Amino acid sequence: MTREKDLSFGRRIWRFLISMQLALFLLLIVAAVSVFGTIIPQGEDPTFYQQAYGSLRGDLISLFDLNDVFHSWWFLGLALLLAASVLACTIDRLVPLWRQVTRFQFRYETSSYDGAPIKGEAYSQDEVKETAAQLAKRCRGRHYRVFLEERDGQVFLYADRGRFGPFGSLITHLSLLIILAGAIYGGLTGFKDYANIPEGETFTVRPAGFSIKVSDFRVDYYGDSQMPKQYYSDLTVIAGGREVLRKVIAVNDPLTYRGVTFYQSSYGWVVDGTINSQGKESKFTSLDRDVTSIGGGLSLKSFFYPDFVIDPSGHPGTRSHLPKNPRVVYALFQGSKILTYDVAKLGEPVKVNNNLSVIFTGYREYTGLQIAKDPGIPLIYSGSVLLLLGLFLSFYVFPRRIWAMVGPGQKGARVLLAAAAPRAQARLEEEIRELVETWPSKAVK
Amino acid sequence: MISEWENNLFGLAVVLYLAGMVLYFLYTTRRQERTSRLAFSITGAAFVFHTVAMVIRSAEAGRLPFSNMYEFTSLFAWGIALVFLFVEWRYHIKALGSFVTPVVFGLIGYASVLPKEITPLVPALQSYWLQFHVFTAILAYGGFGVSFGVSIMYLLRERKESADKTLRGFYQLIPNLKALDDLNYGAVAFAFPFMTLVLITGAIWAERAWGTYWSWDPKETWALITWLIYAVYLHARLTYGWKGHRAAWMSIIGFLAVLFTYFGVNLLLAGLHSYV
Ligand code: HEM
Repeated sequence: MTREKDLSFGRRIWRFLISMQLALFLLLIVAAVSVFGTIIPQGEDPTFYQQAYGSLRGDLISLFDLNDVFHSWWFLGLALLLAASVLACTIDRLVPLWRQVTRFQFRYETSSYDGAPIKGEAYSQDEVKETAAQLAKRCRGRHYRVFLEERDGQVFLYADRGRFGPFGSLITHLSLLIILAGAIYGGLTGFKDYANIPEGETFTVRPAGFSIKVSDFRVDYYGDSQMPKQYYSDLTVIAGGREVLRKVIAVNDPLTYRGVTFYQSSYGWVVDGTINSQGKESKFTSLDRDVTSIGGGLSLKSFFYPDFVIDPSGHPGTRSHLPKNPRVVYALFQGSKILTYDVAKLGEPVKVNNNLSVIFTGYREYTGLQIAKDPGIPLIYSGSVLLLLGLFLSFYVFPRRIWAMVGPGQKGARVLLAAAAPRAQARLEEEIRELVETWPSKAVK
Repeated sequence: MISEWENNLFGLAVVLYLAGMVLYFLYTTRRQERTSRLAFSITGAAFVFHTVAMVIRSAEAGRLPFSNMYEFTSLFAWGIALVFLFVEWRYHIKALGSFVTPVVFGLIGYASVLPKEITPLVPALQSYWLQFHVFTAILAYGGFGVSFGVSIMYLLRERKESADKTLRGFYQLIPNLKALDDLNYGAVAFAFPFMTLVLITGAIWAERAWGTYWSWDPKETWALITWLIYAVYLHARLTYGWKGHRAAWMSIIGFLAVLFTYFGVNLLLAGLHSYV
């Protein structure tokens, strides 16, 4: 026996990685820190935590990245250590597992039938070979794979079914590695972007080197309610100056081109207008509720109401989504100083002072698109399929083995049976009982 | 507006679930075969009415009923009732009813006080993947719910056995510890692949709807935590032989995580799923 300290460093690391203690510890720790990640609000700025948890605990939260658990270096570290452990376990079990699944032996000794988890004994009036053939036939009828061997006037049988079940854990573990690899690969090589594109305009997806044009945007509502049922953007991909692909996307129905996917995400209004500042005229487009710089050190915040109304509490609102009474509520800023604010009709010039006037000329809808490229997704999905296959093998395919020894009896043949099914003990016991009890040529005890 | 029929059938189901539960309790004191058969039939009838009510609702809404707290809570109860009835029919563990029907009745009772309006689906929820996601969740939670009931029975009988050797009264109804442990494992082994499907279908849906297959929002994180707890259960069982007592506790903890994923996250934590 090797003592612990005689082991080389590499072997000790290996022992550490394949130990089930480590695996369980890691699984529990990942679960525990995930709990923290759900009860501490994530992704706020440090002052939030100072206020919510007091200064000392707030500092600790920031120090250990508890404000962003799932993207912290130590969480990734745990995940990688878990992956290393899964990999080591899998490699460690590979050879024994392969043997277990692919090799079998007959049982030649009478004594080896005594100690089997399930056993049985039957007598037949037929002679040995005929009895063995019948037994084999019945096993095959129950979807077993059967092997026979004759030796010294006796016939030995080995039959099994569900033998690939033990590969389940192997496939499950490998699939977890594939999924993790997919997540890391996607994180490193993919990108995410978000664009609000007014109808009729074209947006260039810089990292991908092509553009997307929004020809139209449309919302369907439930009946006359203001509740959107679905919304659609008519998108055209423009690559190398040509239109290469066109699709109307909707929520849950994105468009993918060269690995970049466009997801329908939100929508809203934009107002167009011109500004006349010191005799110079320029156009602008302002997104609803956004602050837009409109040149000359000026910025504009606008709210668009298609069916304007002042509600009883004195706030501006809209009666419907139809442009029956379009109005723009705006505020003009010079730096951070507010110059003026009011409600404007379309087409009516707003005179701020002698040198400055603004006119809102029209309105359009914009579509909010989530743009993402994640090359890890195919890995993740194929990993998921493998994961399910692995679990199916582990939990729904039960390996069962039967051994038999058919020898001459007093009046025909005597059959000794042994069987094992660690996961389906009761079921196999029943099968063996049936095999024995329904013997066609009357069983004689 | 929800239809009169649906409402009445649902109400009937709630009353019958309650009656089934009371009969299962009675059975534990009276121990008459008849009582348990009646309890089983009544719970089965409750399940049938419950199913019909949900079918009517689906027809009316033009979709499966899973989009608000009422619908999902009702489905949750339905899933546990389904797995329970199957197990009872297959394995005849009569006392199981007194442990599982309270969970079913608690859920359905809670559902019955929630607003029942059929609300139209927001666009993000209009996905076949979501239907698949909810369906697998129901089966997984059903299996975990049954393993929870079985584990409580296990711990009760175990405590009684260590206190005095003779099992009297109610305790005679509880199957032996080995059978309970097998059933506990069986229910978890049945449910774990479905729980995995819950995570996978949820990820596919999220990717299609939002462009991110996993965003660590509290609901999905809690589903993952639940999954990890049951993974620990399976490994500890397989390699350390954590059966019986420890397996029962793991099942109980796992099911508490299931309940928290559903109720705790909705009521205490906020996230993408907060509209469900
Ligand atoms: C989230 C992580 C993991 C999952 C989902 C997972 C899943 C599984 C499943 C489903 C089984 C089959 C269980 C059964 O047949 O009852 C299994 C078996 C096993 N797992 Fe894991 N596993 C994970 C992590 C690990 C780790 C980190 C180790 C390393 C120590 C490990 C070592 C084993 C071993 C040794 C077996 C028994 C395999 C055999 O005898 O064929 N697992 N695992």
